Amino acid sequence: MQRRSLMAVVFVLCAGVSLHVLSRHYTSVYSATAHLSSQAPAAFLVQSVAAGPAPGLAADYNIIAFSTLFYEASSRQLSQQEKMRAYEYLFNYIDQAQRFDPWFWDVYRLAIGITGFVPEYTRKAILLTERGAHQRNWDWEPPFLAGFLAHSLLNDDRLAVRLLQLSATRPGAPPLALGLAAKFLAGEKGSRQEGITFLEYMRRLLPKEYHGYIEQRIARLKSQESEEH
Amino acid sequence: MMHIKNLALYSFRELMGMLVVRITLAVAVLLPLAAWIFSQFFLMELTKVQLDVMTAGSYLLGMVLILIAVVPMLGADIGGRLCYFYLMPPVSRSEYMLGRFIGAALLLLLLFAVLLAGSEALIAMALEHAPADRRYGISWETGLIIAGTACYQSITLLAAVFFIAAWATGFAELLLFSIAACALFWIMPPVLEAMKNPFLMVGVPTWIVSLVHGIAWLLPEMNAGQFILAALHGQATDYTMLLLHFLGHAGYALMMLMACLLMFARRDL
Repeated sequence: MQRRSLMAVVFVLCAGVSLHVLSRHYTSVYSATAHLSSQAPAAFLVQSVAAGPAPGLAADYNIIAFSTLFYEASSRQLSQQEKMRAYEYLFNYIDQAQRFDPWFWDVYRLAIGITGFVPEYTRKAILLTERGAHQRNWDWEPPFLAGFLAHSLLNDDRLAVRLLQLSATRPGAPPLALGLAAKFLAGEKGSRQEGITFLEYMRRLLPKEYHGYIEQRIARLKSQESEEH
Repeated sequence: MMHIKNLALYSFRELMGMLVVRITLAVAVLLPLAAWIFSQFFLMELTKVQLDVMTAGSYLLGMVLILIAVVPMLGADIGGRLCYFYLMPPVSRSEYMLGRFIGAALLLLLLFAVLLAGSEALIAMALEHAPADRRYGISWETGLIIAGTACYQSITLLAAVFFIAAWATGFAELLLFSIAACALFWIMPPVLEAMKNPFLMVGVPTWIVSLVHGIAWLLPEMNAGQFILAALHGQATDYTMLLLHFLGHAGYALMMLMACLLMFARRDL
């Protein structure tokens, strides 16, 4: 190699080192999800490694796994113990999907529409949706749905008001969100008819494969209402 | 300069003549269709899922092209001594390596142009047909970010493969270390990220923590996944960070390439 060429090569090499140092000094691992996962379970790490530069695909995988397990569990007669195990897995899939992609809409639809109606997971599903609502800061729907569930299933009006108020600040939020928040804040009980209206609204949001639980709940509320009359 | 240009064009044509390269380009053309089919299993954000597939596909196809086309080409040149045909005076060793590198980089640019067109076609379809509430965050810019980041990261990987070729003694050695480099670039960022998590580091000796941070600092930031994910959901892209990410890669590619030229100029052939 000629002397001038060698000098040019060494100069470019030094420029490359400088650029690398500059970039490394000012950038750290850029992770939007870091604050959501204080602990990294083995499955999360394995999926991170498999997904590499496409973490969104790991979230998609968890949603596919959720749907597969849900259809499987719905189509079989399961014992109570098996059901609880299936729900545990379902919730874990949703939780993992949120860690990979906290903005993913499907996560919150399934969290509220399915796991939200399992008594043992209602609070967890609502809190997961609340975390996501801070990420999806343009969307009124997840905190609205979670707020109503907090009121109707958990009887936790403080949580419900917090979520409905969050929903009401978002563009396009229905006036119902603020109205319900005011009602719960005043300590008024929501009527059964409001519950039925809400569940019918949710049924329209989810595809028909997911209607089973919601329809059961609507039927229960309607039978309670007719018994009262 | 003329030698570099001629050798680059020759290398590009040589690579395009390989059947595996044409098959890979055909897969890149069909990838949007595969992404569309996969997205039909989801409820709401179908375009996001489609672009996730395009992101993973972009990185994978870039690596595949490097491993199945560029590595055999360099393996035959160095292991099979074909480089003697190109290294006749007045072509210098540096000109030979630069010409080969630019030819391979042109092939990668062609691949990412095809993938960019595919991503933009999916975005156009979503903007035209998706319901209004599902169009949030979908923009033309997203396709550019996906193809752009995957492109410059693949060129960094290409430079690392050329660096390996500068000292590898034959095809088997070149292939082995190139696969290791690809695996390292794919696997290391999430592993290092997890290892830097303070919850995992409790009780780990300080010197191991320093070692992990040192390794993370030496490697370029390979994971642009979070930029892409944020862009897919309409979050404002931090262009300063993206520029620094690009500069880091440019620096790393230059380092690898210059180290390659220095080593190749002195090795026995």
